[in-house]
Amino acid sequence: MRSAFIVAWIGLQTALPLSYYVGDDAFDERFAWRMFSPVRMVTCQTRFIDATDGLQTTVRAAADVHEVWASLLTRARWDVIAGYARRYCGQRRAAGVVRPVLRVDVVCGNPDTLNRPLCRSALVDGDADGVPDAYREAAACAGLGPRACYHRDCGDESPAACRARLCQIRPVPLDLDLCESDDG
Amino acid sequence: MADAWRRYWFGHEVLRTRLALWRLVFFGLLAVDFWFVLLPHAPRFGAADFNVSQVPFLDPYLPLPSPGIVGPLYLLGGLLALSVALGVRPRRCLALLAPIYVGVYAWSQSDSYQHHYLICLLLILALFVPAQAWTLPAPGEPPAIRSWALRLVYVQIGLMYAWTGVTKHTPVWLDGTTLDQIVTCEPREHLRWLSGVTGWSAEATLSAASVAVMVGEYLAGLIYLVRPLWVLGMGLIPLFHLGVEWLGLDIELFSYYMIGTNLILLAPDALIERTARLVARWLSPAVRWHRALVEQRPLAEAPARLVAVVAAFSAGAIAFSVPYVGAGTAGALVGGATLFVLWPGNAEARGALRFRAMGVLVAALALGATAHGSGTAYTYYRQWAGFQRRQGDEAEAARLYALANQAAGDAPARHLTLARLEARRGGPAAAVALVEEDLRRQQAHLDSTLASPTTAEAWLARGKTARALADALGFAAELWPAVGRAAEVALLREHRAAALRLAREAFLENARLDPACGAGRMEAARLGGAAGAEGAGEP
Repeated sequence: MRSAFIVAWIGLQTALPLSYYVGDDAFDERFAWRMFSPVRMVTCQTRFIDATDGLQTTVRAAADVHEVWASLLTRARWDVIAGYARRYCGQRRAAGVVRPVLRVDVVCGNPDTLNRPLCRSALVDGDADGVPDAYREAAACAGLGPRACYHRDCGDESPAACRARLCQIRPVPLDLDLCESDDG
Repeated sequence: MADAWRRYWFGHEVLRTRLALWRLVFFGLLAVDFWFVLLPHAPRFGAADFNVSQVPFLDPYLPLPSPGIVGPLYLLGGLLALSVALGVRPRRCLALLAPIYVGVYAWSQSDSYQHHYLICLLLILALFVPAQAWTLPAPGEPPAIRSWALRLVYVQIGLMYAWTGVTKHTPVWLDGTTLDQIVTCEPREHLRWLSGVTGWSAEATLSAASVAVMVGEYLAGLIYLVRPLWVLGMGLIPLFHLGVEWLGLDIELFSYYMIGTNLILLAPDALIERTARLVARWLSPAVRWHRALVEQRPLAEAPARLVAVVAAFSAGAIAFSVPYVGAGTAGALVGGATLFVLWPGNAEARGALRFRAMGVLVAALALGATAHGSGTAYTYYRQWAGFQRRQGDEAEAARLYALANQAAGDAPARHLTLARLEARRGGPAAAVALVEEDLRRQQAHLDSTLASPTTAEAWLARGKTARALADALGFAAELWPAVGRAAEVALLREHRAAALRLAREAFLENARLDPACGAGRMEAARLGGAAGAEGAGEP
């Protein structure tokens, strides 16, 4: 019995962190012992959109909840996004809306590319040479010159397009109707 | 194989003295955590009727948490933790403490600190440690005890360190990028100093520090699993946590928990015994007193029950007096828990009852003293009031600000914020006394505590107080004409200009003393326009 408990405990303490690495939610690190992880360094812009009847109304979620929850929304914690959606959709239904539609646009920094020059600084190109000034930092380019380093990261893309591809991720599909998954 | 398994888990011996020391440090810190760190967060629970638990599929069935229940549970948790630290029936206290800590943690994701999760796991494992392991051995009793649960405590801590090492296995950690983003100005200066000493570039120093952290975490994991390595860990792992504190990373009390835990759980037996003897010598009057209490003849059943009831009533009354929402609930919970912990079911329990009752009452007095004598109640109500104000509930915000001000003693508080609210809600007359009180407190604070600052930090505090004084004088200048005191306005403006000048001087002095990280330069720049405008009219 005691051995079974020990095996179960160690199994759980192996499986829970492991599930983070094999799972698809990079932003929920609760049981994975990821102290000081790169994920903690990125923030997200989380915007709820009420798309009922084809309209696109921004929902001010951060003002509806305590700052601690607003902070978790800016860290793309899916449980909190879903919890907020559950409440919002319930309130809309109670107000007589038969088929509410709620979407969420979550744009986060990419924790895997925090070290790329383009992802660390603002898109400033002071000398207008087509290469953002951040690429002047030789250390981040491992010996490559600014232009070659930029090319390594972005190929022929414009800085803005490259930044959107390289430095940002959208962990929640924009077309997901959060009220639909909440339908009971 | 089976033998090795049995030896590893069921032959694991730990000195009872070691566990008693760990009990004192770990649970003492837990009490501090409950009363000073967690309690001010109680008003977050259920705020704006929103909550998501750690197990969201249970949310439809769970009640919404509220400050009126979470606050009392934190108060009781602290009392039980301190009782364990003092050696008052640890196993019985743990039977209440573990469900409280784990339950509140599981109730809401608003608490996301990973070390709170670690404490949950350690408390659950502590429930399986034999009762006698928590107490010092009496003469003739074996000094060590075997416990698979204690071995699992070691393994759990080892797993935590090892998984933390796995986290660092990414290019963005290893090249120093993440560490660079974590550290703020002062730690960055520490690292700059380090790179000056080593002669490495700043990037190389950050990268080396990052690699060292990863290697150290893997090593710490291994050390906890292999007993012969303990002594190495006792030297190395606390250094890692001291480094984290040196870098100024905000992880509440985690470093202190781990420094204490590492030093005690990994120390060689001989060192533990020597330390225990030393502590016993320092505390010899207390030890004698404890022995005298424990070795007295057991009370008869009826008087013993009476002692338990009186102690429970007293502890409950102390908890009932705390200045927090849910004080009645706290009183009932503390009273009930005290009765449960002290209830004398047998002769052994009746024998130790005097000591146990004293221990719980000491913990209850500590609860009362921290609730009334620390700044916790002020923080608790101030933050709650701020949230209500931002939510637009001005009546509730005003009520909570009034409670915060009451809890602040004579220190500057939120009288001006409350005055602005009251002026909007009840007209200028309602705000006058509050503004005057704010002016009095800010001026007194400037003239006493901050009269002769010597450090950069103290100059910054002086600047901020002078600016707060200027804000209050500015609001008074707006308010006074509406209450028939227009004649005083010119003098108020003069005083405001002087306060702004004082603030500016203090901020610049902060910047001079701490040119790298002092916030004074930025604060002075923010002040620049206002001070200049006021100063323009000066002779």
